[in-house]
Amino acid sequence: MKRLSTIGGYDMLVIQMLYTGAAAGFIYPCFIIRSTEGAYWIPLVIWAIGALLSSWMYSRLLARLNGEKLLARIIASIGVVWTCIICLPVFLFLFAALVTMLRAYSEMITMTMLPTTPIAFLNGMLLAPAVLALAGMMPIVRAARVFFLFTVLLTLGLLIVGLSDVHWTLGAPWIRTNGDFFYDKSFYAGSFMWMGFVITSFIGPYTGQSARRAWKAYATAILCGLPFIAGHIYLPIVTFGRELSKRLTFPFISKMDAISHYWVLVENLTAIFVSVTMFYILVIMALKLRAVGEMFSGLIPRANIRIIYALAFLAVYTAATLLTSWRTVEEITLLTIGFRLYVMFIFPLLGWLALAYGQRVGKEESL
Amino acid sequence: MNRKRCGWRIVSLFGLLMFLTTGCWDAKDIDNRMMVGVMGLEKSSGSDINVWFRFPLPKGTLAMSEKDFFTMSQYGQTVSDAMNKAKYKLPKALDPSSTRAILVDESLAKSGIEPYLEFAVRERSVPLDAVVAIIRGDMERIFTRTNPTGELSGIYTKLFFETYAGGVPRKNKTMLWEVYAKLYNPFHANLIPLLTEGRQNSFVLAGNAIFVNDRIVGELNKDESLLYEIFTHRFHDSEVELMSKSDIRIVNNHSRIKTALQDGKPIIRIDCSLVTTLIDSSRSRKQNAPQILAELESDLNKHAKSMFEKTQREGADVFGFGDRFRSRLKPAEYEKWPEMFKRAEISYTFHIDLRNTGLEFLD
Repeated sequence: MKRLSTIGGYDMLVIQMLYTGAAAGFIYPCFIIRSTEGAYWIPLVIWAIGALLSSWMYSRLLARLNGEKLLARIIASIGVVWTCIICLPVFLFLFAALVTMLRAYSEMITMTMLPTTPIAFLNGMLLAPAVLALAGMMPIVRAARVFFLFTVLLTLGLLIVGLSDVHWTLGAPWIRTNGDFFYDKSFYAGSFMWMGFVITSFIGPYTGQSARRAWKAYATAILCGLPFIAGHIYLPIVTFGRELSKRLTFPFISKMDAISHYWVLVENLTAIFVSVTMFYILVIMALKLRAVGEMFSGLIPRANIRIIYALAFLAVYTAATLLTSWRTVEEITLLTIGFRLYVMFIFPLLGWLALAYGQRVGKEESL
Repeated sequence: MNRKRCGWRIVSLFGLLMFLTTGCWDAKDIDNRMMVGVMGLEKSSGSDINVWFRFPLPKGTLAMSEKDFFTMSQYGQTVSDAMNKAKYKLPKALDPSSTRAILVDESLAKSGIEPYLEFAVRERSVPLDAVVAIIRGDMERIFTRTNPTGELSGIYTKLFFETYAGGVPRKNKTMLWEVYAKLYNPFHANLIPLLTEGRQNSFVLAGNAIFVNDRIVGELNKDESLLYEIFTHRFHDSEVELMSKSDIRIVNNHSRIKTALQDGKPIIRIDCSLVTTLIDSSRSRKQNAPQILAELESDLNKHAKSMFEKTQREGADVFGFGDRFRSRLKPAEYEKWPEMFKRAEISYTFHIDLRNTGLEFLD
């Protein structure tokens, strides 16, 4: 039996920073750029506050687990049927997040580097995260620690090199906003950027102390990650202007393509960006698959864990391969907004109520 | 039993590794590619265009050919169409991913360039940092003549503009992404270098073409182009300003731009500081330092006046002053900027320092 191990503060910081890298670079900038005519940092900060609120709600819920797993406690409190009902949107969110992340990355490779390589072949990269997820949480954490050391440095390097050819006047208005993004679905579609804590909440046991530690690490990761996320959005803006950036599928990739320096030895910075993103993606897809696996092993304790991961791999791979176009990937991201908002803000409340109900029933039975 | 299981694992692992040996679908060996050095776009009959390609030839094939390059042209409705048709004639894969320069014929630039550049951004086939220039003259001769200084095809055009090589401020190096971005920016019009066919060289700088939307509407001469570089912070290295009596080198400059909006009228004030050195004094008429500086200031004022007259008349804000008004205007008003620029009040002052007179005192 594998030893259950809680994630340390540094590990949580590393994982959340990798999540930022996996989500910030390719789909997210185009959603935010299309969501408003005003300052872009305002929707960014609003979502960061929303993410802190959501993670705080989760941390309060996790603090009540006393060393158990979240799903196991909810099942013990309200039974399998009610747990399935309240967890169905969570599962759908995780499944959609896996499919869109895999398919979006494959499409990015197709659009930028390998135009005729079949998507079915590129989607095969899911195999590595599936094996990593099957190996357990600690192998994922160890891989994350190693990847973190060079991916974050490379991303930082790319952002610094990206400061060339920028005209700050193109970023204006810097302060003004009329809140137009609240009426734009692209603003809500970008919610996937802020789901890092949610995913780790479904993995492993938590105690009051580890939940507090995890939330502090997440808050630190958000603060450290904000300049990274803002860089991915603003660098294309202050280079190409708002008008062209809105028309670009991957504004940051086009920005990387536009960098030209005599002293930069690497001619193709886009290839570096795509490669670095792959490392982010591998860890985060492993993490999401792990969350799916733990969810199913909690609901069906007798099921063979290998079969669960094999089925999860096949389902995600098949769904991602069947998606025909980039437009479909965008539509799925828009259609699953409701699931993400439910998972961020409603599920922790329901989970808290479920645990409170379980405690009350337990007390009544003991009397 | 364990050995049998282990054997199956090894067989499975090697089976997976077989996938790697199949190679990549997009792999094409470098010796099976014809890499485009320069691309030329020329207007043809009707809506068709003629695309010129110049391919550098590897050293191994030079013995068979007199030139170090191969040139071909192809008609098509679009650039992609011409590239596809060109593939019917080539023995190797046409590879535009190393294109260093895109030369656009002046007549095509007068009818609109946007439809012919979109492919580069959409398909990512041509590098976004390729330099763009307008050609006045015979595109065929430019593409078929050997480069006089012997550099590889494509590199020659790139070096012509690059600041680390032959680039000087007046040449106004413009990259593909800049041209494309300004096509969509209502606050910033394009200014693209204009080259004419040269007698001794492949081409010579004639000035810079002013664009409104995607069409040429005017031209800045070389002296006006120098002022453009100074005012837009694009000035690099040093540049010589030739005056009637003495020659001055501008070694450094700093321009402070202040903007305001008064009753819907843009007010733009430019305060420009120049650091200069004297490189040649007049032999026909003796001038002291203040007289030289006064003459330089007068010349700069004259060039700036004619430059702003040309650009404001056409509503072409090639300087990007409009971007400074983004916060002051509502998004719905952005498209009005070219008209507002025509009415803009632009003033400029020069503060010139003569740092030294070279290794000889000025009497």
